[in-house]
Amino acid sequence: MKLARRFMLICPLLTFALLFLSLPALTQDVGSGGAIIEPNFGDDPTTFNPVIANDGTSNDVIARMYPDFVGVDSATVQYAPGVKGALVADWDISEDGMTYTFHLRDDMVWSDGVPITAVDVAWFLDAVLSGETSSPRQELIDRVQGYEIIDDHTLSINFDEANCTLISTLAPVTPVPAHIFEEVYGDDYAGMDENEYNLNPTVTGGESFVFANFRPGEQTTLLANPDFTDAEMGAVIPEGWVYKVVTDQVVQMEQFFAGDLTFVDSVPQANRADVKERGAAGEFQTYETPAGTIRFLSLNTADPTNPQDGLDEDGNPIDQGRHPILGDARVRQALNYGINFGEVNEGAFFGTGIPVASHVRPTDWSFPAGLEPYPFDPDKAMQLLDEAGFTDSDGDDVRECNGCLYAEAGAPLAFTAKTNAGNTSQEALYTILQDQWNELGFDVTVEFVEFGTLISEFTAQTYDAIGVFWGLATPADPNGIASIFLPEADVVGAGYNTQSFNNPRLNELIEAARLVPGCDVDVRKDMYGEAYQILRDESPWIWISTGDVLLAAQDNVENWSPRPGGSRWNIDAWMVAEQ
Amino acid sequence: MTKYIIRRLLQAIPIFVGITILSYLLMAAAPGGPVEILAFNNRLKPREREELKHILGINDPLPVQYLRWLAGDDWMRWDSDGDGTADGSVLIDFRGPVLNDKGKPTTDPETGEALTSPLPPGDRYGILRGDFGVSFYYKRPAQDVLFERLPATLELSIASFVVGATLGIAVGILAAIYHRRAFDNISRVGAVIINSIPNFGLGLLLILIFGSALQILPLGNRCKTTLDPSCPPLPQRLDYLILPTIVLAAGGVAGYSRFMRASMLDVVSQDYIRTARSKGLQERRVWLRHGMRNAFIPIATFLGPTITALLSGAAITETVFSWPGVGRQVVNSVVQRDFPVVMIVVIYAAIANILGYLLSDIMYALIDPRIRYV
Repeated sequence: MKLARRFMLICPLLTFALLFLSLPALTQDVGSGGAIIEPNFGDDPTTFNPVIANDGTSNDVIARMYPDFVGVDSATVQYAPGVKGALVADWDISEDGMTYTFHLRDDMVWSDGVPITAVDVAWFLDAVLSGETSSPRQELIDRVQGYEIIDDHTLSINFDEANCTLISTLAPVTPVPAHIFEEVYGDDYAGMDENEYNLNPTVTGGESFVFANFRPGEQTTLLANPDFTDAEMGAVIPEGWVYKVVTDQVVQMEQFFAGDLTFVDSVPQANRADVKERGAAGEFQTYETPAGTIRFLSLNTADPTNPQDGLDEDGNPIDQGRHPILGDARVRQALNYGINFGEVNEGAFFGTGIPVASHVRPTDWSFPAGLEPYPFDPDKAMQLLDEAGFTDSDGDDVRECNGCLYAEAGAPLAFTAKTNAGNTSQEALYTILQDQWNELGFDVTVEFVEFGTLISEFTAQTYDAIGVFWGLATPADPNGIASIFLPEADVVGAGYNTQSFNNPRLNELIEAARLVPGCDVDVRKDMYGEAYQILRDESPWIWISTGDVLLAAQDNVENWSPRPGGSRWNIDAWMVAEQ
Repeated sequence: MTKYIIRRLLQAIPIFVGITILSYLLMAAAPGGPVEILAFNNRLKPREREELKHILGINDPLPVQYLRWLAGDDWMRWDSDGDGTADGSVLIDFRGPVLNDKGKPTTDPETGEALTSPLPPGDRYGILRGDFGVSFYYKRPAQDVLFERLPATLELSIASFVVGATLGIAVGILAAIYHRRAFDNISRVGAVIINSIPNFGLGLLLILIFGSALQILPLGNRCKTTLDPSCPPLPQRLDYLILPTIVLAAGGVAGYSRFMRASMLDVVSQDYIRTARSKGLQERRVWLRHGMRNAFIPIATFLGPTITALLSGAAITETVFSWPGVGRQVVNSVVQRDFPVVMIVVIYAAIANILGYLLSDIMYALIDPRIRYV
């Protein structure tokens, strides 16, 4: 009996002792894995306030310290319920498709211990829907008609119509600590920009890290979030994450080689072969993934000397005239057939380019089978030019208009292609293309122009052809970029259908694909497939290439396992071992 | 002297105003506005881009924009009944257009009158009242953007000025003393070589040699990367200052040495130097006491402007070394068409320039007893 009583006394004591001993071990795990130092090749973040953040650098930092509303599955690269680091656990859609009810997780907390709830989402929506913030989120304002907080962890959002892109419309929505934002900003949404709190947030959370400090021109520092509930290893392993400004690519790579940087998420083309070789030798870890950008050449199909909107106030098409050279689809097709991509790839992209036929990646769900880039076929190109009425009648190797559709008789087959100065691969690309096209009888002038000036001409629609990059949304929103080929986006100085392209069948398909009842994926895919084929055949853009991005990490970074949907999806598990 | 300084400062006022007008015109005339850069995003709708122009105030006439920047807009658009919206204005409208999806002003379909919506009262005070506006890109006061970069620039400029001027002047004097001898020839050839290497090339070369190959100096940045909220005090991170200082000082060494050498040679051919020698003074005393002080007079003419140039930052060197200074910032701001930040840097540089030239003139008087300002 005495023994049993002793045993009963000792048992709880032993349990407490074991728990006590195990606590330090658990505490040690949080932030025990060294600091991750990532280079920021761009500018400083402008704000850490998700309501007004509008630049890539700020959003990179915000993504590390605020939860998503609806998350993207890093394996499938699609919006999905219950994704790591996202507040939405699941959602229901009303029968009419216009109301989405979101069920939120109840285990997420801000860094001050306050639970993350529907109120935090509502604060973001209130600010944006007020239309007073300086950050443009017009798509959200147009679509969201209102919301209702059903309880702390249930929120319904009403939309103006049932369409298949509503979840991606909600992409910018980010829960913010309402109890703090209310105190700091109140309802002065217009004055939010100048508040000092934007760069010194005291309460963050719901993601792997919490805000620590910002040193302008130098670095942004976050620390391990001890309350992050989705940590792969049970706790956030890295001590912190430093987003360090390194403004020269050569120096950036030298710092990486010297071990000053933990990883680089885009190895410059000039260093790729070296890094891959050293990676194969075990010096670094490397990973290649499709790039999120497309290079294209926009061809102005309308008269550049008299730019006009695509539609008048009543929605009727406006006569915009035709570009004397590029207004004829056969000339645009000839330019495509005249591209020797192999030569371009070696000369401009170090062999890393991938030819494309569309602005949609072949890995995206909407990409149709059989959509191929134009083959290199100079004979076909010359045949098309002959058919278009451009022949070389005076033997000077430049074709002239002899019965063409839009240019004056005798006018040379000439146009100017412009691209951004200072980008060596773009400059090389268009120098090579100039040679290739001139072989066909074109007289192409290439100009390298300062980026701001280039974009100004692009939106003013006063150009012949302009070549730039375009970043692709992740997850892919097939409607997003396709809709810039609609006449509604053809607004001089403000819209992005700067090539003034208008194809009634395409317009119909893009709109219909958005509104397919039940959002049947196969039906939508067929519609987008036909739309992409029209764009490829009519060629208002010449889709030139995408490429692979090479990521590299030091060999002492444990658990570094990038996925197509993101290289940092498990950043909370990275451990930078001491060397 | 005091009267002279006051007079010069008063004369500087119209110069300063002229600089601001010219700079503002040049900046506004540059193709591609801030909205093109800030809103180069295919998800943005035409209306958003137009609204952004209204928010930034860049679709007002240029004189109004300049006046707003100079004297603010709280007197241009006001709220007399305290309801938070403007109800009176001069030069600008107190109601804004209602834009359609294309970003175009709309009209009432029945009356044909333009539809308008209330605007908030003006809240800018203008630079004359110490308000330099809000950065279009960073969305915070332009003076904050400048002042947070100033310490790094001062650090680098002072170091490079001290090194450049000291070494350059010393080399110049020695080259003059050893005229047409080995030291003189080497310094002349060296100056040409240094002047021929662009800063970015020299910077990268030094980084590759001393940072990557020898691993004895850091590969750029201002201090070691840690989780700390600030860099440690300067004495603990002098190694980070060495390479950018060498790059910036190199040009100074080359320039000062050539200028000082020429000036010294000019002075030592003067009669009073011959007189000093004929009096039997030691050669060292002739060079350093009689020659050097007078040779400094022409140097003083460009010491002031040199200081201001250094204070304005060195964009290329700061970029190569990821140095968080004013120069790098202003280049970014020009690319982003961030008018408020560009203009505050212009003002800062203009004031520094005016004061720099004034400083030169004062130094003239201090060095040369023949010069007296009245």
